[in-house]
Amino acid sequence: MKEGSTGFRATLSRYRLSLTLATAAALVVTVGLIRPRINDNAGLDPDDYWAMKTAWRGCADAVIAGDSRVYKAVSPAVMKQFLGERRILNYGFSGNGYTAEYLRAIEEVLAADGGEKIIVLGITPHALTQRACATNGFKDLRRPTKGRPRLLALLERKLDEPFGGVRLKGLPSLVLGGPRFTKRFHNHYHEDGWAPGGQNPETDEAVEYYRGLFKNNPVSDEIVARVEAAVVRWRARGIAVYGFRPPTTPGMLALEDGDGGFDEARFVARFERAGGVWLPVPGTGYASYDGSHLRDDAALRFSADLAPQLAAVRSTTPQR
Amino acid sequence: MLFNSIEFLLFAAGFFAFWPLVRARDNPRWLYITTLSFFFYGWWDWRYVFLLVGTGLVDFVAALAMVRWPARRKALLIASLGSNIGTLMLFKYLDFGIANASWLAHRLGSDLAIGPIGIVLPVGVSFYTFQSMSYTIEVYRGQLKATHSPLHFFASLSLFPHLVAGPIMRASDLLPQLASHRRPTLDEKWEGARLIAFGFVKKVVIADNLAPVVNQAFGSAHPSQSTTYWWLILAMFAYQIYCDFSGYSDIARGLARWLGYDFNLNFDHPYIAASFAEFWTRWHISLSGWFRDYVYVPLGGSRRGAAIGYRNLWITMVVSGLWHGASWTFVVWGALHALFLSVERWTRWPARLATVPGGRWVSRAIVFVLVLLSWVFFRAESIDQALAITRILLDLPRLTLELAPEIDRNALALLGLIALRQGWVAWRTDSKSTPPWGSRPLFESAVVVVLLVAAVFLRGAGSAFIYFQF
Repeated sequence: MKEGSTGFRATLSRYRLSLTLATAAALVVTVGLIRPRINDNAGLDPDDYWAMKTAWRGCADAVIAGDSRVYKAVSPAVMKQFLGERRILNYGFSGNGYTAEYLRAIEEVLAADGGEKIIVLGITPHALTQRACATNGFKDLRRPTKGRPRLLALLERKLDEPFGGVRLKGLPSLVLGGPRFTKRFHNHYHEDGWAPGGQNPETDEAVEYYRGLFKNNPVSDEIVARVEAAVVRWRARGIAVYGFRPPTTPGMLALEDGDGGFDEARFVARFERAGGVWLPVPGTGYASYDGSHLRDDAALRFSADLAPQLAAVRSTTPQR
Repeated sequence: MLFNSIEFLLFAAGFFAFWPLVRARDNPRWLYITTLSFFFYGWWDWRYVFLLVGTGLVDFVAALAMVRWPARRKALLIASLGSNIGTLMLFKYLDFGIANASWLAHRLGSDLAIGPIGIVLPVGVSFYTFQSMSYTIEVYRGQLKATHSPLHFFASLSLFPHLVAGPIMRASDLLPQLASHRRPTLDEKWEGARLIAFGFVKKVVIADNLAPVVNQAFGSAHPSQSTTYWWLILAMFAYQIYCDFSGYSDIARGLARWLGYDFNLNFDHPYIAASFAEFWTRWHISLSGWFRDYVYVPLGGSRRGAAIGYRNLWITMVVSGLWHGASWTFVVWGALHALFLSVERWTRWPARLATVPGGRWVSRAIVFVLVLLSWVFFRAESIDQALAITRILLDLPRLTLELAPEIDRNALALLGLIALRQGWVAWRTDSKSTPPWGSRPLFESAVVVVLLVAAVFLRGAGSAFIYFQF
């Protein structure tokens, strides 16, 4: 008996490292499989959604452009109800900035046929900063980070869903047996580029996040001038150009005007001088899930507010 | 390539898969290590591999030349040091020098204004140049025989676990280890796994979860004016940087164990130090040892009288501060430690306090608080910010037990757990006791399993290791 036990111990000792690593791996996989999903996505697969968007060329009559505040807020389907059966696409990207490359790409999404073309720019102050232009989602998707193969990024994203960290904020609910490890997101990826979403529980943490982003990184006059020049160019080509500031929370609005250094009146004056038409949508008044982006139901409501306003402006002051 | 990245997991899996095939014979082993370590390094920017090769070649040739022409050893050593220090000056300190020269010129009434060159700092340059310098210095001193194999030399210099953030291995420690191969024992493999598991938890669970709270505090446009808040933030930063850097060192040491090599201990619970002299034998041991042996002692150490000893201490600490970054904040950080060490040497207060019951614990508290104060300058983005925070910290009448609303409660709970463990380690060190579970393999295995699972699911937002920027 003693000999057998010693033999067992010796075997255990010999394979201790392999057994430990195998147990850890088995536990990681098990927890990964049974844990609640962080993202409850609907519609297209997110990777297919972004691949589809970056591939759009010559396929739209109207393009709505901007960053995540835009692609989460404006539904092309709702716009169609007011603008008629036209090919409308939401061409917003995460953390986006108005780079020359992006402005060119917006134009390239417009089809050569099918009558008058429309570009609607969602102007968030962050999209007018140098940092957003240097590190934006559009650039990352069009030109994956140098030296980092697309396959690795894809693998990382795929593994992040089951094995993503709950972080410190998720610890209390994990330890105290809360219903969820951490906050959960839900997004619905539509084929027209709209991706409304939300999270549970809702927070306003994006305001602090953006406070960090605006540090030494206010709205850049150079980028405003770049947008202005693009509007002039588009107008010269007969494209109707509209702009609006996507609504958000009062805290975010104050941050953008303060730390972000955004002077909306001055921007609007320059935008209109370049030939664009500004849509004065309400800055706040719609529910947000993180202090910055509109919640999906609010996005639907906002789209239903924006579309008739755009239709009305087009009927009273048509751009030629 | 970061240790906490999917790239590295794949790289390491590939490296260790083929390692048994090449490790037995010298040239294939060295070639394998060198090639894959260059790949590991070049993942950031392949162009900097040429810099690594260039500076390394100068030292390799200089050491051989010292053997060939002993009479010219000193000139060759100066050439080698000049090449390494010149590299550091160019890539790390040029813009700092230009900014200071411009400032000085402006103060003297000149219109001279030169903008920064904006040279990108190659990852790990401060680490591998120091390691490379140790090689020529030791050959010069006759403490090490120069190797005739460039593969042997570059395998030692570029060995990927220590390449970008240490521990700074002395050539005399590593080169002989790489000269032959010894298969790691089962115990060594286990020790490697244990170090890697602890290292990952320190980095991705503790440091990465504390980082956002600290970054938010130091990056805020409207910083808190609460004294309590800033002391807590500094305690969080103290453990963030400790866990970040010692976590990297642990992973590096663990990987080395798996290869059959032994890297020196780089951190030994620095925050239980009861004096500053002790702190520097526990914090970044490989760097403080390097500065002691190659700067402080050659300057004369404390052998040539007290005054010269203090001078040498200040030079060493200020240069050590500057090693961490081209900024006046790092210089002040080094100077503060020089001040603390000088006062300690002058008054011998820790030794005196140790004679009082509980005195060692009081010493620990004093050292820890002063280390926290010095971290302000290490972390702050400018001297002005550091001074503003220091003023709040020293406004002690405003120190209350009431927690500022902006302090993150989860981070605070984590800090509490760390403090408890630190206290336990200090008590265990004093009582020279071993934990009751001592060397129970099953318990240890369970701990490693829990740590690995925690490292996956409790990890914070991934970020680079802080010491990469040095």
